[in-house]
Amino acid sequence: MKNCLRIAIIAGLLIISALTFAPSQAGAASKTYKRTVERYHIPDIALINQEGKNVRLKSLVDSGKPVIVDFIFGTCTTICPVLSASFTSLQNKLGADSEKVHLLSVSIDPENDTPRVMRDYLKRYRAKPGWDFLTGSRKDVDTVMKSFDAYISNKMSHYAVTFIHMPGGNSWIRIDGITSTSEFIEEIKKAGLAL
Amino acid sequence: MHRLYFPTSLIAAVCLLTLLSFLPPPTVWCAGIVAAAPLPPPEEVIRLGERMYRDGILPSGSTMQAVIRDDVQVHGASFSCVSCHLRSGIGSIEGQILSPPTNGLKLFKPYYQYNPVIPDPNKPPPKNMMDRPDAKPFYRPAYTDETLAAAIRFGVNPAGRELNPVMPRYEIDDRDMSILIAYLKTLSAEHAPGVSPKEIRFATVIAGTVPPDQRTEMLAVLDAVIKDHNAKAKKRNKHLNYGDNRIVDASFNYPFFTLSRWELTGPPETWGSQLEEYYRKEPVFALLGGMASGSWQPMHDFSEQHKIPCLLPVTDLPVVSDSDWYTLYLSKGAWQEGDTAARYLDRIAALPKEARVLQIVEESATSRAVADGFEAAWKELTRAAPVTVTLGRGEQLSVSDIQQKIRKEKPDVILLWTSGQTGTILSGLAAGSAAPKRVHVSSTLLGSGLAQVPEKARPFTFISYPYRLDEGKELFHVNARAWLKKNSAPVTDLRISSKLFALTKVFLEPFQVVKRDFNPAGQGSGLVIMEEQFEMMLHVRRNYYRDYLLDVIGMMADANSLAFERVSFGPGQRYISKGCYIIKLSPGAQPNLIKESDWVIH
Ligand code: HEC
Repeated sequence: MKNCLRIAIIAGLLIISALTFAPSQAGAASKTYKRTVERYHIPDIALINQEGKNVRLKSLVDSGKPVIVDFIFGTCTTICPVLSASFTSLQNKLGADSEKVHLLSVSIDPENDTPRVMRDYLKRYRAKPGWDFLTGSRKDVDTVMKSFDAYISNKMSHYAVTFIHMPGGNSWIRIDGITSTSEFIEEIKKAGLAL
Repeated sequence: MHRLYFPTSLIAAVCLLTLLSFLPPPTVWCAGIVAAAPLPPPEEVIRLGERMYRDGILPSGSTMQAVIRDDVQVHGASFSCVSCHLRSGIGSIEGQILSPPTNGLKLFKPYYQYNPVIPDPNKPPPKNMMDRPDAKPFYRPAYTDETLAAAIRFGVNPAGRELNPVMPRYEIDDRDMSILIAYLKTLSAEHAPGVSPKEIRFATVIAGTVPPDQRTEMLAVLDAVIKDHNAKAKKRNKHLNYGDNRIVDASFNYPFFTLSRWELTGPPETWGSQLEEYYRKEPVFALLGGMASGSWQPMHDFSEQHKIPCLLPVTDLPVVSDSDWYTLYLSKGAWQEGDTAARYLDRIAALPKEARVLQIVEESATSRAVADGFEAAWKELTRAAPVTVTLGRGEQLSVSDIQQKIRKEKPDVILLWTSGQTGTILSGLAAGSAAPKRVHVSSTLLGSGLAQVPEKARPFTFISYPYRLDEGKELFHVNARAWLKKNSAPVTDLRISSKLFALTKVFLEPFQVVKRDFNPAGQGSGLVIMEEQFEMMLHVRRNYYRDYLLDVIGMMADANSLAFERVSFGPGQRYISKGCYIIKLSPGAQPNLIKESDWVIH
C-alpha cells in the first residue's frame, strides 16, 4: 500500500517534470561552459610525446606560440571525442598553418597511454603537426593536473577542461565544460589569435 | 495503475506536435521505412550495421559524417556510436556525461531517463536519486523506426526533446539508416547463455598438468568469490521478498552463481574441441580464473569464437593483442618483461643507437614470449634487431660458448632469457676477465630462484620484475589479506590468491548486490522501465549481456592490488596490470630488491 502511494507520487512528479522540461529543453542551446582567466605556474617536468621523445612541459608552454592544453586518454569515451573534435577543427581552420598554435593533450591514463597508443589516437583524429599528446610517470602527470588546478583522481570522473595561453606571462583562459567548436574558436579569437 | 499512465499518451501527442513543427519536412525524416534499394540478406545487414556502429563506416565503405550542434563536421572514425554507447549499447558514464542505452530492447519501450549531464561526482550524492536537483527524469515514449531515425539524424527524441549536443547528428541516408536500426535491434537483445532468473553459470578451465598446490589455491579463491556473492544475494532476496517490500516481479531477485570445473587433458591441440564439448553440455555466462600448462591461446581462441568473457586466467603466457575482446588478463605476462627491458634500455639507460645487443633464448614458450616482447618494443623504438642465439630444448650454454660469443659480438648488453641455467651462466660471466656491463634477466624465467643470481654478478644483472616490491601496507592490503585468509585462500609465494583477489573487483562489482535497485516508478506496469542510471550503469544487474560485463569493467576506476603495484581499466583495455619494475639485488642470501626504474616505463 505504502509502495503504491509512493509509486503514484513519483509517477505524478515524473509526468509533471516531463511536461515542464521537455518543451523548455528543446532548442535550448544555452552556454554549457564557464570561462575564467587564471594564473598557473607550470612545473618544469619531463613528459614523453607520441614519438617517445622526452619533452619539457615548460619549454613547450614558453615556446612563443599560443598553446592550448586539454586532458584526455587513449581509450576515453564520451568526452574525448568532443574535446578532440574541437582540436581537429581548429587545425582544419588553421590549414597549412597548423603549427601556428601548439595543441597539447596530456594523458590522464599514463599507464595505458604509451607512445604507440597516443600515435594511434592522433591518427584517428587526423591530427596535423602542432598537436602533441603527452604521457609520463603517474607522479608527473598528477603534478601537471594539479598545476592547472584540474586534478582528476579517477579517469572515469574525467571532466572537460581546456586551457588557452597566449605567449608571454602566465595567464591562462580556463574553459570548464564542453564547448561547441564554434564557441571554442570564438574563445580562441577572443584570446587574441587571428583565425 | 494504468490510469496513472494515461496522461503520458497526452504528452506524446503534444510532443509529436512539437516534433512535427520544427523538423524538416516529413519526406526527409519519414523515409526510413521505405528503403530506397532492397536490403542485403540479414546476416549481411547485421555485419554492415555493426561496422557502422563500431567503426563509423557506412555500407558504401566511406566514413560516416556527423555534426555536433549544427557546426562541427566530424567523421565517423572518431565518432562511432561505440565510443559513447559502448559495445553492448547499454551506454556509459564518463566525464559526467551519461550516454543512455541504444539497444532495440530499450529504445522500443517507453523509458524514463535523466539529464545526461551528471552532477559533480566529487560531491556526495544525495541519498535518494530523486532528490538530486539535477535529476530531472524525462519521459520518452517508445521509439519507432521513424522517430529513431529522427533522433540519430536531428537529435530529437519522440517526446520532442532536443538531445544533448554531445550526441552527434549523423548524415545517414534511408537505406543505411534501416541497416543501422536493424543492427540496433539485435544489439543486446537477449540475455547471454548461462543466465536464468535464478542462476548464472560460470566455469573455470584447468588445462593440462597444473601442480596440485597451484590448483588448490586458485579454486579456493574462486569458491570464496562465488560464496561471497551468493551469501549477499540470499540476504537481499530474503529482504526483497519480505512483507511490505515484496516485489511483484520475481525476476527482481538476484540470481545465484554456480561454478563448474572444466578439466582439459591431452595435447593443447585438442583443448579447443574439449572446450566446445563442455560448452555444448553446459553453456556458461563467463569463464573465471583458470590455469593451463602452456599458452592460454586455445582458451583465448575459444572465448573469442563464442564471445565468452574470461576474467583473469592465471597465466604467464597470455595472448598479446590490441583488438581481441573477450579475455581480460592480469598482465601481458612474460612478454611484458621483455617489453619493459627494451623500454628501460632505450629511454632510461639511454643506450646509444649503435649499441650491440646479444639475446639468448631457450626453446621454451616463456623464454620465447620474453624475447617477443623485447623484439616488438625494440622494433617500435626503431632499433636494429638483437643478435639472437636460440638454444635447443634442454641445451645448456657452457661458459666457454658464451665467452666466445661475447668475443665475437662484443655486445653492450646481454639479454639472458634463460631459466634454470641462468645462475651458472652469470657466475661464468662474473668470473671472466672483463665482466659485462649489463645483463638483463627475467624474474618469471628465474621463478622462485631470484637468489640464484650469484653475488658477484648482481652489480651488472638487471631483473625484470612485474610485481609490487612491498607487500602493501594500506588498509586495502590489510583487508584483502584478511579476507583471503578467512576464506581459506591465504596469500602465498605462488601469488595466485594475491592475483585473483582482483576478481572481487572485476567480477563481484559488476554484479554487486545493491540496497536499492530500480526506482519503483517503473515497477508493475510491465512497460515502463526506469533504471537508476547513475548507479546502475556500473552494474550488470538485469543487463546480463557479455559485452556489457566487459563494458562495465572498462568503466572501472584504477585500483589497488595485492600482487601488482596498481591495476587499471579502460574501455577495450585487456591487461589490468601494465607495469613492471627493473630491479637489482643487494648482496646476501636473502637479497633486497632494489628498484632501478619506475613501475611503468614508456
Ligand atoms: C560523443 C558521444 C556519442 C556518440 C558518438 C553517439 N551518441 Fe548517442 N547519445 C549520446 C548522449 C550523451 C545521449 C543522451 C542525450 C540526451 O538524452 O539528451 C545520446 C542519446 C542517443 C539516443 C537517444 C536515446 C533515448 O533513449 O532517447 C539514441 C537513439 C542514440 N544516442 C543513438 C546513437 C547512435 C546510433 C550513434 C551512432 C550512429 C550514437 N548515438 C553516437 C552520446 C553519443
